Amino acid sequence: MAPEERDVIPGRRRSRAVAPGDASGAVGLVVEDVVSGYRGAPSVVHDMSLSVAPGEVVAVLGRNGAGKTTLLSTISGVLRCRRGRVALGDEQLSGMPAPRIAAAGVAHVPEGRRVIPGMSVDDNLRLGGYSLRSRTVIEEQLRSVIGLFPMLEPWRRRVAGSLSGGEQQMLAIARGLMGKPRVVLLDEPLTGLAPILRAEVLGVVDAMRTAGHAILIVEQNAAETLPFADRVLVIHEGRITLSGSAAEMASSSAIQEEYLGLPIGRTAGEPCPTREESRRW
Amino acid sequence: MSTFIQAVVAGIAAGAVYGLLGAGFSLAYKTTGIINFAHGDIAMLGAYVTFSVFGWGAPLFVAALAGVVAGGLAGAVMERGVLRPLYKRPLVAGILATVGVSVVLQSVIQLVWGSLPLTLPSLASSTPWRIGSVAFSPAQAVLLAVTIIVSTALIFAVDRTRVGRGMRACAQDSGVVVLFGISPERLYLTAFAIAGMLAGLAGALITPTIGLTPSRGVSLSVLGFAAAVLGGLGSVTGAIVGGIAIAVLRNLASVYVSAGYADAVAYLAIVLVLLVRVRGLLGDDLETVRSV
Repeated sequence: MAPEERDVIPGRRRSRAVAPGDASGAVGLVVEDVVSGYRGAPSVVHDMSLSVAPGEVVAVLGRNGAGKTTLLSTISGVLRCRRGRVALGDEQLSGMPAPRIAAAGVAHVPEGRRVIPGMSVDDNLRLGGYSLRSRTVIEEQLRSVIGLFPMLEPWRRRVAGSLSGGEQQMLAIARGLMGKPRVVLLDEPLTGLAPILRAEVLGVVDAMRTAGHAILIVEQNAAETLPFADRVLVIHEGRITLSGSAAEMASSSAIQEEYLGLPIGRTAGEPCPTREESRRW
Repeated sequence: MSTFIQAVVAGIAAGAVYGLLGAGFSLAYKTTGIINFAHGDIAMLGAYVTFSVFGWGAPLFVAALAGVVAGGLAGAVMERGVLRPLYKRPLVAGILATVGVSVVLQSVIQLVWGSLPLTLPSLASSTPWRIGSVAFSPAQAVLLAVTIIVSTALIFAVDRTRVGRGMRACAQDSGVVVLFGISPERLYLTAFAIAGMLAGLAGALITPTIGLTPSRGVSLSVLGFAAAVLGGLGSVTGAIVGGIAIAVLRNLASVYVSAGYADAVAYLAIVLVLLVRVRGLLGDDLETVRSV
């Protein structure tokens, strides 16, 4: 849980993010009053503030065009931060080029997987560890990541382009973890996946949380994401309009109807599925 | 039969150098998508620098190393100064810019060294050894040995090292690699510097046979490009095989058709190969991969 938490109150009030950290001194992600957008175009994200602590999963929900992907691209340095700041604990990230932000410990798993299709699974994984440099460290990390994703082991010699969508998604997340990140940004990891694979991906997210990663997950599939999140932010037209703990969000029928949608067969007011229920879908 | 074997053996030695030229073409293309039409002129620059350093009294081997360094510098300067500002433009802008660089390099060479043909001695003796009726000179052995060593190192670097992996990834998705901590600009610079060094080396090795003239770079570009295309653009191994295939075909055409038709027959054969197998002899289906 982040040190500072807002109530589930719709509005455009800025949140005052405090550098999140846990008892071990590990640091998380801080985004403060960030304004950003695509080159030569108006800003898409406006005065956005949030924080993600180590071992915490924060879900960002919102409709198409709400600014979710722009937010992640700004954090990872693909887009320039026009105003405000992004930091990893005390280390300022805004203003750094994307490769340096990745090396500083931010893994961005982009929308659409973006595996390198003509290279092997093994090469894709090793690419994820590009900033580690030491061969020994890369081999150690490879073993550790394969331990988390054992399904990748038999595919290591396969060309990544020949994997199915779900397999590519696993590879993309595993590749993100190869760089020993402290923060993991997941952009629509459930899109286009079969229900069983969605549950598998969310299971991996759960394992990453247990391992102490700070996770910011952007999803449209609120019903399945909510049970796995600790906190939820809803964004609309580039601003945070709602935020609160996942439990609070799940218990509010108005919020379900307005922002999260309802799972098939459920009615307004009925709580969202639990983690176990979600896995069974 | 011995004539045939002789033509093939001589073709392999000459083709090894075409292969080095083609390998540079392929490396730059594989990483950046740009076909560098100044590649042959960078080879000539390397050869001219070798000529000058040798003329100042340095051993030929040291002079050739200076040529390699000059080629690498020329490639790096070209990438940093000319191509980098064009990466956000359509690819054709960068390719056309390489044609401009080719013209500029020819003019610079002409200004510095003049337009009269010059000659450079071989790294080893040209007096042939005879194995039966087949002649093979130490100079040809050096060409072959250098090509084998350099191309093996290059293939290992591209396939197995961290930077080589980054280069291959850049070719397929330069947008996503920044998320892994890779700077595409650095890899582009590295690729052009290495390609320039390969061109400089090829220039130092081939000019004892063909001589030095400022405009010779154009024909070297054509040879290197043909080797790279025949072998499969983007494949270093393919470029070496393509270069050897072209040289052997030229030699065979000279012997069995006419020396005047050597180039025509060789390039016609390339066209026929590409009609059947558009990705070249050993090429990845890079365009397909790019479009995935």
